[in-house]
Amino acid sequence: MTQTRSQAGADRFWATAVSTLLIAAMLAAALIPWWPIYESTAFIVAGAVAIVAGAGIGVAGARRRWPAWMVVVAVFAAYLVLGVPAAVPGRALAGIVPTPVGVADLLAAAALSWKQLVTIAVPVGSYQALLVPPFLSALVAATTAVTIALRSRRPAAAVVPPALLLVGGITFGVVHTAFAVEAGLAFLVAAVAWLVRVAISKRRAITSGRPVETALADARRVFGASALVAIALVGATAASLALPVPQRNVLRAELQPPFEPREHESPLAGFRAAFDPDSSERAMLGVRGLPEGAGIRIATLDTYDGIIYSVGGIDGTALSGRFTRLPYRLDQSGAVDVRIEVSVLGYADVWVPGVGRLERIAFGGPRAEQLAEGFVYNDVTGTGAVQEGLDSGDSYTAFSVTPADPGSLVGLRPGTSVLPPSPDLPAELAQLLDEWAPATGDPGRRLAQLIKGFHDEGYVSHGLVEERRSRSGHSLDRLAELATESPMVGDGEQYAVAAALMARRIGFPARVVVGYLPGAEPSETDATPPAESDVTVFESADLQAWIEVQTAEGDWLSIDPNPDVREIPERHPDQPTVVSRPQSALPPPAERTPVDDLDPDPDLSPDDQDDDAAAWLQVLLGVLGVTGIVVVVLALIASPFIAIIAAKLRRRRLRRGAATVVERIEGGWQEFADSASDFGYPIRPNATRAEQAATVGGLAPLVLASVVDRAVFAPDGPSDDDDRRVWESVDELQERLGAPRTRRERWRAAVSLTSLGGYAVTRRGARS
Amino acid sequence: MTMTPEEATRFSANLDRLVGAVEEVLLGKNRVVRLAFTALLSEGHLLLDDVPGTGKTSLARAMAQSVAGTSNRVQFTPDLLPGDITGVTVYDQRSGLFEFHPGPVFANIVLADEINRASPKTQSALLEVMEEGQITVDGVTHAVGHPFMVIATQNPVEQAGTYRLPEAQLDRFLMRTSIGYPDHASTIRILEGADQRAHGHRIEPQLRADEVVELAALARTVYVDPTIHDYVSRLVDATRTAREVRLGVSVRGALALIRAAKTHAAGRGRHYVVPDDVKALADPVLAHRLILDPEAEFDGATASNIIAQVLIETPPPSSRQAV
Repeated sequence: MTQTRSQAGADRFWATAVSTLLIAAMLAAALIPWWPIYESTAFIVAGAVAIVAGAGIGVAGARRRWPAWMVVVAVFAAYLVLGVPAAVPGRALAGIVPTPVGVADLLAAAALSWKQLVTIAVPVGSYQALLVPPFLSALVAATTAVTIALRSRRPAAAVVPPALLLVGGITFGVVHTAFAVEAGLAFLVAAVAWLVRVAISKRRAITSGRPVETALADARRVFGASALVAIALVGATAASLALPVPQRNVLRAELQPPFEPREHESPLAGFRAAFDPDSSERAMLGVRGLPEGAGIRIATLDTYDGIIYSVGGIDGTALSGRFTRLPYRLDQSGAVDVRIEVSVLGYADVWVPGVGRLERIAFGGPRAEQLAEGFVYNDVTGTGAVQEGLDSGDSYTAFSVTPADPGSLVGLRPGTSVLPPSPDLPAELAQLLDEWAPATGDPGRRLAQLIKGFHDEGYVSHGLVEERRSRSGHSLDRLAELATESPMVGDGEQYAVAAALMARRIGFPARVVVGYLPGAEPSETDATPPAESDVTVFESADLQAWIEVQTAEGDWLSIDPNPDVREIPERHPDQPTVVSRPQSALPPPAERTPVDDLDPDPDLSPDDQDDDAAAWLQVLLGVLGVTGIVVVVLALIASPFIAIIAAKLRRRRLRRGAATVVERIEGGWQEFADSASDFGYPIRPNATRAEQAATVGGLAPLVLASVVDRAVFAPDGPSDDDDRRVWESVDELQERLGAPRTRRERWRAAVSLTSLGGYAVTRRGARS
Repeated sequence: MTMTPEEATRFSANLDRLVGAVEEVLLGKNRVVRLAFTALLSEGHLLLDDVPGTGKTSLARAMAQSVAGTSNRVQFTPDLLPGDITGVTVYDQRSGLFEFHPGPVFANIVLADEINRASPKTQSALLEVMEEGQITVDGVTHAVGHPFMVIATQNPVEQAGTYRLPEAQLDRFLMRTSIGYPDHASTIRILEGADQRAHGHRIEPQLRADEVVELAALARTVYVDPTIHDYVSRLVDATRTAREVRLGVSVRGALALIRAAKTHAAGRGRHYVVPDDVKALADPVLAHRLILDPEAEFDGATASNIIAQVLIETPPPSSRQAV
C-alpha cells in the first residue's frame, strides 16, 4: 500500500511537472512578440521570473487547495517582492533589493506604463518601469494557466491565458513583422503539445490497465499533433508566399505622437535671418568629433506645398512627421562610426542637430534629465527634437551611423521611398533640367549633371546690403526666378529646394536638409569662445541647406548643390534668352500627368503601356495569379475536411482488406459503430457489440452484432463468405443511418472527428 | 468436447420450458426465474435477499415441481440445530442398529428461509452439503442426490436477532439476487387469478431430474474463448484494486462467473460465451462476494454500484487478438 501511494505521489509529481513545463513553454512562446519592444536581457529576466513565480503560485495553490482570494494575494505579493528587481531594475539596490521609490514606481507603472509603452520609440530596454507590462501580464497569465491546468475540469482552457499574452505582445508590439511567423509557429507548437498532453491524460484515465492500447493511443495523438503542426507549417509558408502582406495594425501606430513638428516653424523659413549682419558671427554650436569637413544636420524636410518646405506631410500623416521618444537606443543596421559631443552656445530651437542615423544619445548639462525625457526622434528623416527646445549651456553626445560615400554620383540608381507629394516642377526649372541633364542619360549621370549645373551657373547672395539683390523664400515663383535669372543668384534656401525638386523629377527620392556646414575661415571675433583644436564651432552664418537623395541601396546620400562663393558677374537685363538650349536628337518626353509627377518610380516606361500584347499577357497573368491564390486559399480551407474524409476512406479500406476473415468481420462492425458515432449516437467505448447495437436501435444492428460475435467468439469461427455478407450489411446499415438525415447532417457526419478522435481510432480493425 | 449448435438449441428450448412453467406461478419475474434456473443448471445455489411476501417459497416449490423433483422448506430460527437440517442417527431397538433419519436437506431443491436467523453453527452445517452435495453424520457420508440446489433467503430489512452470513458461506452461493415486488400489470394479473395460484396449485413437471442433471453436464461443454477468460480475469482484478473495496472477488468467484456464463449462453441458444453473458451475470454472481471498505460503505457505496463501475471501466474483448 505504501509503495502504491509513493508511486501515485511520484506519478502526480511528474504529471504536475510536465504540465507546468508545457505551460511555461506556451508562455515563453507568447512572450516572443514582446521582444522587439525591449531587445534587452532585462526583458528575458523579467519574463523568466514572472513565469517561474506565476507557475509556482499556481502549483502551490493547487497542492494546498488555496481559495481564489489567497491565490490573488500571492500574485500581488509576488508582484511587490519580485517586481522591482525584475521589472524596475534601475530602482533596486544592487539590482536585487527593492527600494521604496522602486515600489512606488512599480505600483504606478501597473496603471501608467501601458500608455508609455506605445508612445515611446523601441527598443526601450529596461528604461524606467516599462518592463512592468510584460512582467505583470506574464505573472498573471502563468498563475491563471497553471491553476486552470491543475485545478479545472477543463485543463485544455489553460491555453487561453498564454494566448491572451501573445495577443497583448502583438497589440503593444511594433509595426514591422519581425518574429511574427516564428512567434506564431512557436506558440502553435507549444499549444498543440499542451492539448495533446491533455488528450493523452484523459485517454489514459479511460484506458488504464491497457498499456498497449494506451501507448497506441498516445502514439496516434502525438502523430496527429505532429501532422497538424506540419500542415500548419506548410499552410503558413504557402500563405506567406501566395498572399500579400497586409498592413500590420498595432496600438503604437494608432496613437497620437507626443511631438507635432507642424507646430514649429520650418528651419528653412527663417533661413535668411541667420545671415543678419548683427548676429551672423554668433557662435551657435561647438561640436567635437565631427568628421573633417562634415556638416551637422538640424532638420530634414520632405514636404513641399509650393511655398514652404517642411516636415511631416501636408496633412501631418506622413511617417516623417511621427516623432517618438527615444529612451534607450535605436537598432540601426551597421556599426556606430560617429560619436559627436555637442555644446549648445547660441543655438535656441526645438531641433536637435546631429549627423547620420542616430543610434543613441546622452544629454549632459543641468537640464540633462529634462531633455532626455523630452527627446523625440524620427527615424525616417533622422531628425531629433526636444519639446522644451535647446538652449545655451545644454550639451549632448550622439552616436550615429553614417552611410558610406559612393564617391561619384554617376552610376547611382534611385531608391524606392515614397515621399509626400509635391507640386509640379516649374516649367523654367524643367527647361533648366533638360538643358543640364538631358533625359537620354541614366538617373545617376543626370543627377551629377544637375549638381554640376548649379555649381557652374549659380552664384551665392544672401541679399544683404553689400551683396547683389537676391530675394529670400523658396516658393515656386522664386524658384522660377532663380531658373530664369542671369546670372543665377540665390543661396542655399533656393538652390537646395530647386535641386530637390529637380532630383525628384529625375526619379530620385529627394529631400532638403537644413544644417550647419563649416565656414571657410574660423571667426576671430571676441564673442566667440575660444575653440579647442578638435572642436568645430558653427556660427550663425554657417547655416546651409543641401539635399539628400535615396539610392537603390536605401541609403540617403547628402549632396550639396550650392555653388562656391565667388564674384557675381553683371546682370544682362535685356537678354531675352537666359540660357541657350542645345538641339536634341530625341523628341521631348511625353507630357506627364500630375500623378506621374508625384510618382517617384523612375522605372515606369510608357512603351510598356503601349504594347497591347504585353498588356494582354499581363492581364492574363494577373487573372491567373488571382485564380491561383483563390485556389490555394480554398484548398487550405478545405484541406482539413479533405484530410478527414481521406483518413476515413483509408481506414475503411484497411478494415475491409484486413488479412483474415475474422479481422475483416470485426472491421465491418467497427466501421458501422464509427458511422453511428459520427451521426451522433453515444457509442460507449467499453460497450459490447450488442450494447452498441442497442444504442443505435432496431433489429438489424443486433443481428449484425450477433453475427460478428459468433465469428469472433465461437469455436468454429466464420465461414469464408461471412465477411462479404457482413460488409454488405454494414453498407446497408450505413445507408439507413444517413437516409432520414438532411444533406447537411450527412456532410457533418462525413467530416466529423468523433470516430477519429475518440475510441474508434484505438480499436484494432484499422490495422492489418 | 464442446457443445454443438444443435445441443445449444435444445438446451435453450428446455430452459424456456422450465422458465415458462415457473412463470405461471411467479408472474412478471422472467429474469429472476431465468437466473434461478441458471444457478440450478450451473450446479450452484441461490441467495435471495428479499422481504417477506415476494414469492420466494413459491419460486422454490415451482422449480422443484417443474423438474419433477423433491423440495423441502426449512424455516431457520435461532434455536435450530445442525441436526435439524442434516438429519440424525437414531438407535432402532428392533433391529439393534443405528438408523440415519435424513433431514430436510435431502431434496432436490431446499428452501432455507431466513437463513440469517439461525446461529452460525447451524448456518455452517450447510457448508459441506452446498459445496460437495453430501453430508457426514456420525462418520457416515450421505449423498443428497442430483440435482441439488439450496435457495436461501434473508430479510434485508429486519436485522434484530439475526446472524450475518460469514463470507465463506456467502462465497458458496453462486448468485445473489432478489425477486422484488411485481410491477403494476403483474400485480393486477396476480390479483385477478389469486384463487388459481393457491398453494395447492401444482404445475406439471417439464423435465425429469436426470434430464436436468444431463442439461447441467451439457452446460459445462459450452465453449469459452480465451479472450473471455481474460475479460473475467480483468474484471475480478478490477474489483480487487477498486478503492472502495476491502476484499475483492476470489478465484472461486471468477470460476463461478464463467460457469454461470456458460449456462447463460446455452440458455440463449449459443454454444459459445460472449461478453454480454459475462456482463449480464456479473452483478448477481460477483456483488455478494465483495467486502466493502467501511468508510466507502458509509459514504453510500454499494457492491452493485462498484460492479457496475468496473463493468463500465473494463473494456470487453472485441477480437480474438485482444490477449
